[in-house]
Amino acid sequence: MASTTSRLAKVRARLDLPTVRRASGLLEGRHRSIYSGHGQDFDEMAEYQFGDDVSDIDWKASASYGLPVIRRFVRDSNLAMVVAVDTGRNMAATAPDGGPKTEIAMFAAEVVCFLARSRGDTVALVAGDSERIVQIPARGGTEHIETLLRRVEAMFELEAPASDLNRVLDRVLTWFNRRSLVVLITDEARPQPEHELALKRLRTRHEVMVVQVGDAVPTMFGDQPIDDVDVHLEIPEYMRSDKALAAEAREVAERRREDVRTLLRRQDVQGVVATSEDQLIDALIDLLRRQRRVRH
Amino acid sequence: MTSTLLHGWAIPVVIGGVVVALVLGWFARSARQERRRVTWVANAAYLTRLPSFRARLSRYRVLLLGLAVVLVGASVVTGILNARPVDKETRSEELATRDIVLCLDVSGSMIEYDTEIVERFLELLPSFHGERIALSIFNSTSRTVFPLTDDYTLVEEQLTEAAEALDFDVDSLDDWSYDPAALDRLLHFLAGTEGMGQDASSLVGDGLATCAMAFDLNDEERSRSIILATDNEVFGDPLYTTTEAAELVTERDITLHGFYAGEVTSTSAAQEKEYQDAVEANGGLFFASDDPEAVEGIIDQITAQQAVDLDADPDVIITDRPEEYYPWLVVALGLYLVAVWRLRS
Repeated sequence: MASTTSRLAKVRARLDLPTVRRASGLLEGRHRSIYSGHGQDFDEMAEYQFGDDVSDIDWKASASYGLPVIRRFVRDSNLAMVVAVDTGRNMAATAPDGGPKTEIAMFAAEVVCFLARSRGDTVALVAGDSERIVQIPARGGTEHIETLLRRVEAMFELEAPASDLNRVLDRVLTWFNRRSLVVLITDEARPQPEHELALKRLRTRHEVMVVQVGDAVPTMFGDQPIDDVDVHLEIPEYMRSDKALAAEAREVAERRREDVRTLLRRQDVQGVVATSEDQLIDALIDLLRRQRRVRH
Repeated sequence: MTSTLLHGWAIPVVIGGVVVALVLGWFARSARQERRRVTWVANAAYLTRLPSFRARLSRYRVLLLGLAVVLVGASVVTGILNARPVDKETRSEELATRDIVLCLDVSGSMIEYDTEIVERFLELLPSFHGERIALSIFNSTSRTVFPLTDDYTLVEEQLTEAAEALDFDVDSLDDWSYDPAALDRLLHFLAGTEGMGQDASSLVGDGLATCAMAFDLNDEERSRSIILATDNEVFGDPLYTTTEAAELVTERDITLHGFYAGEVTSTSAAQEKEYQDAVEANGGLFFASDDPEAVEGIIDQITAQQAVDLDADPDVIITDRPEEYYPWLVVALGLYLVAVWRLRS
């Protein structure tokens, strides 16, 4: 199918080669970390970076090198990656760059899938909201990934049901026994405290990464009428483009982001906020770099 | 003169129109809101809970309330203006062409009646529009207090002064109980009416003839009349007899109305007869009364007769009086525009 190739090809076009290499390399490291215990085949020495398991540090090598150095191992087999997507209508709202959040979310899914495919990993999908849940079992191959991505894209719409992250997280938990890398794609207000328990449970069995798609601050649209996808907002023209209100809204949004960050840190989950497609690539690479070994 | 609204029904009509426009506008607005594209955002429910949002919202509501008040006010004022606020006045243009000379005998016995006549004319003064009035007093000689004029300020001033001066109880001279200041005022007012010999008094014919000469604007078509008040008790040697003077008056196309208030003496009946004949021969009205209170009715009768003679249809004169309401409309519209501008930004 022409469109199948074009989707991943598009991603490839967006990513220049060094970036891809770097990103897939990082993802590889990430994958390796999913194993309990280390791989058998030593691959390379690498500089220690914040987030690496301290027990990986090769002290002798570090002493001779002058900086902390860790040992890396060749991975043994293909891994399963689970793309868990929040498909609530909140994902079809507006992103900070003015475009739809859907595009950023799709791009995040595409990049993750692209990297997985380029390594030959299998990719599974769990996408859902308060009314729908879609799951696609883990398989490899371009065709499968394309189908999966199209499926997700079809679910993103303004008329979609409200978000329910717990259903998605619970489904991932009950469905995948094998230790996997779960990439959760949601928005910047989630996971909220009510999702913490499900996240915690998921965390015991899988490695979890969260990609949060940023939300537009509702006061950034000036005189344009706005509305919330979940709660109807009656905002008369007089209330729009008020500087004090905008500052306060920004502050609240920042505080909420900080709350989510705190929650993720508490659950030892790496998260990244994507505010635009361009920023997403850097953010993802940054996220992968911050990889750590699973605690045993 | 009454202030009234010519089309009172316009007020509810305008207010009803504004209400209908508001209702239509409301529906048009909700229809437009459905059509227009909103920018959808997510997780923004906190916006309405922000303190500055609430503060601004209450300010917005106050502005809206003010706007509603201003709108109601502007509607009411518009309604009033549409209802045509007018001053309605019933006025006869014909009566306004009258020239009236008050010709008052100021001999002692007549002073009380003179006061009543002057006071009645003071009362009638506000209804005058173009009428000209003169006051001439006489005893043995005549004094023109003021000539024919429509300067009502002057007329009112002079008539007031005359009424005050003439309001003097002549009987109090006998027992010395009078107020010297009042007497001074009277004497000052009467100055110039007693010359030409000490034994002459109430030279009615001469006085009347002087009054007949008081009319001017002979080439204009005006109604000319003299209101003469006298007891016709002549002492001395007049140049004109009462009858001759009345003829002179008639010659000059002037209507003479007579008011007689003489004491009953041996000659009074003849004097009254002469006077009555002189007046009625020329088509004037003659009144005899010893009651000063009757003067008011008499003058009204004279006025009514003049209206009949002049074929004066009373016209209703309508004067628009919007000036009282326009500033309110301007202020209301100004406030409305400012409020709308504030609401829009």
